[in-house]
Amino acid sequence: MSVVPLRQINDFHKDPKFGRLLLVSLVVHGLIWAAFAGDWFGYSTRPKPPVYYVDLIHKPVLNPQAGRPDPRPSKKPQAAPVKKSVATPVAPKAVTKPEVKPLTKPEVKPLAKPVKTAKSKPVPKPDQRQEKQVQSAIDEIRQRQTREAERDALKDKLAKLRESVGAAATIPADVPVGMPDGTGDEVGVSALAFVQAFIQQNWALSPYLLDQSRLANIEAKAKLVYAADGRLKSFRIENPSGNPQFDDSLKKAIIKSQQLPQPLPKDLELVVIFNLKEMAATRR
Amino acid sequence: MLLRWLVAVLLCLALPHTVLAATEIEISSPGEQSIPLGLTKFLPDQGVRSDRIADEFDEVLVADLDLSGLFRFVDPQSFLDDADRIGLFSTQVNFPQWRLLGAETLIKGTYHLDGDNLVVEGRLFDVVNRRLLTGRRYVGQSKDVRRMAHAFADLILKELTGEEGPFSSRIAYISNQTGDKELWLMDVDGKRPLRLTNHRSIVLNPDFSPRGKEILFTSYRANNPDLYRKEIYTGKEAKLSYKPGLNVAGRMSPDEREVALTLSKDGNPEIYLISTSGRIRKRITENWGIDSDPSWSPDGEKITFVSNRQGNPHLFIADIFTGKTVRLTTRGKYNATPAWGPKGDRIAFTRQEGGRFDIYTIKTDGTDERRLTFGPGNSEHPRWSPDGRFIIYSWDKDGNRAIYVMRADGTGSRRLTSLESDSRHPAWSPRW
Amino acid sequence: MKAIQFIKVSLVVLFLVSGMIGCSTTPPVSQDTVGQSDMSQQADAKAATGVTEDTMKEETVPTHAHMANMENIYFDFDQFTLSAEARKTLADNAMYLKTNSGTKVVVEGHCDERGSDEYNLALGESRALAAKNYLVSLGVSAKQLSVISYGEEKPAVMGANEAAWAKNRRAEFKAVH
Repeated sequence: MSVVPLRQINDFHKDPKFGRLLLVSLVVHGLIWAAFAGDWFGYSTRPKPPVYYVDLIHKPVLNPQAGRPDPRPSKKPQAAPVKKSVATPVAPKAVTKPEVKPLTKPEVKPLAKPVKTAKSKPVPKPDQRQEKQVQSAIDEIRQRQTREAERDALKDKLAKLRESVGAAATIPADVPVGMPDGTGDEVGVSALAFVQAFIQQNWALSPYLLDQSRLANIEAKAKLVYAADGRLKSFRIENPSGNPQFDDSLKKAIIKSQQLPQPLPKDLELVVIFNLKEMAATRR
Repeated sequence: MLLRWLVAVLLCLALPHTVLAATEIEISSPGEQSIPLGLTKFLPDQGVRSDRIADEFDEVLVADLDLSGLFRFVDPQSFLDDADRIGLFSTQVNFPQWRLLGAETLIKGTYHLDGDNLVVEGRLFDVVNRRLLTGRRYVGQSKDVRRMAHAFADLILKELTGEEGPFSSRIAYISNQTGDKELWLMDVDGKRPLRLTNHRSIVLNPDFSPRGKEILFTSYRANNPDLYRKEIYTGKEAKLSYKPGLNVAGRMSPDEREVALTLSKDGNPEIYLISTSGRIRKRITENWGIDSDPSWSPDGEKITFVSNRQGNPHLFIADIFTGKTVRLTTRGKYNATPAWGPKGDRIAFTRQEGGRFDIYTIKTDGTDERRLTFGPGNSEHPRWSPDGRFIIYSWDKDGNRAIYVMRADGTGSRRLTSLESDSRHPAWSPRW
Repeated sequence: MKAIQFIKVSLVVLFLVSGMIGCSTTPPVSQDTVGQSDMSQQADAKAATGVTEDTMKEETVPTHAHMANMENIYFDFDQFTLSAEARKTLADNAMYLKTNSGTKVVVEGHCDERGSDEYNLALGESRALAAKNYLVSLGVSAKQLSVISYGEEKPAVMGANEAAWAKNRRAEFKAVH
């Protein structure tokens, strides 16, 4: 709103109806503001329906896999030698077979000749047919050999390629889900959801530590401040629950979440409400 | 002046609500519902190496801590070299190594075996905060190794939950492995069974005195169901009540001054209070039906019992002083064997449903009934541990009845006695 | 003036600093801070020995012979009321007892295996008492009769079926020698 010069205000001030209109405008503005700001229907005090945070994606696992297309790197050095050992016996087989076949061919021919000389016209025809059959069979076998040899050669090439790709991969092996290097899924991109899942994963609490009847009511609030590089700058338990075992477990969870594995877009000031509503609901 | 004030107010209204509320998130359940625990085998402390001692200690500790339900054990196969190093002080432990394995708590210790003398040192560490939580040295003989392990498990529970565990106590029960039903005693893990009576008749229904010095039980040795008392440490026995007819289900009051039991001397099974010398002090129930199986509240003011005065057997609660009796159970057609929990808030009992008995617990005001067992077979005669964490009961799913223990919410049940003979009527001692 | 100010300030600072000297890091855990438990001294429960060391002398268990002349009576589940057939049998038994007024008989009450053991002891007792009271009402002298309940501890027929259970819900009449 620009600064209104005094003279103009004075001019307006002279207008008799202006004051009244201004008052009306003020009242109407005030009504609108009150309509939005006030809690007329008790929405803020109404008990909100419980939110069950069902974490199907960030399920806590000891060794989280990144969203990578290929399996864990530990399997890789085993996979390559296995493929090699499989590849090598195939190759000598392909070599030996064609060797065997040419040996049989000359055997066939000398056999055919004495038969040919012994008999007259009808004999050469069945001989030729037989020869053709044998020939076609041999051709078929040879074609199969070459096809298989080509396939094996391709397999070898692929294995070598994969190996080279694996070796050259710059993605670190133990990257958790949702990293910004493009190998995660889109849920991980939300920094808030990631931090929530990370802290929850680090929170270990046994229901047998507490009185079973208090599971539904226990609650504590903590304020955490994360720097942009993912480091926890400060934390404070604002409203302790009153139960020392519960508060202890929260402190441990926060200590374990001191360093986020991924940097945040900016500094994050977070108020975390810890309660056991979901646990109480599922244990009932 | 008024105009300037009005303009100022308008400006304020026009300003956006830039309240810098920190983003709020809610985490309503832990990612892990058990405490990851690294439990290492205890190492010899410059003395003789005994794998038997280390293995037995480890076996008892694992069983007790597993029963507690608090922990998830980190796989011992994944332990790194710090598991093989003696660590009795926090400075000796390589905590980052244990953090790597995901452990939050760590148990380490040593033992020193010198002939028959055994000294065991146990330590519980907090891996995240890198400090020693508690520790203890146990001195005894090599035969005491199981008792030491139970005591250490109790200590661990005390440190983590504020209440000591019940693993050092004992369980009394009736077993017919000698051919007759006699009274036996065993550890909480079912080991070291010990026969206590030699009546060669029928012994039933044991119950410990609140301070753990005596056991009350019923025996037919004198050809009548009489109530006996037996001193645990001296073995001395004496008849406490031997009126004609029933003298059964004797339960000592929390202040050890009275015994509630069922007598039928007046022509009908009723509940009476007798003094510890056997003299009748008070009659609690008076009606045409069967009243039996009393169980005291921990404050000694009320008794819950079974009565069929309203048709089917149901549980009732009677106030000792005023005599006022209220009905506790309303569901089901046959509710029996009540056991008042040591915390005073819940009562465990059995209900017959579909021809089978299962164990339930209910709040003392009759609400919040929960079923703990779901068959097959009959789960009967529930009794609480002194800390209220566990319940023992008899279960006949494999033919013979055997004693089982489970957590008070019905999970973690495991068998304690063998299936070769019939074991029933368990009773949990107070803290030994 | 300035000197006094300086002294005041330094005193305050010293005071504050001395307060902080008390705070140190957690003391190292020494052997002495760990408690010790002596396990060998704890007494243990006494096992049963061959010799009973209680105050009561052992009584011989009288053998109860089942009386051929006195039939059992049977009951419905969880009931101790007498059926018409039970009454008939009891009438016959009463006849026998009245003619042999010297014989003493113990009425045993039994239950089937279902149900809580303690409740069944009481139920067995109620069954035996019901039989005894009926016999007395038919004229049998009460001195001849005594009552004992065995609950579900002595089944007549083993088995987990209705046929076996029906046979176990009984009152038996045994002679006392």
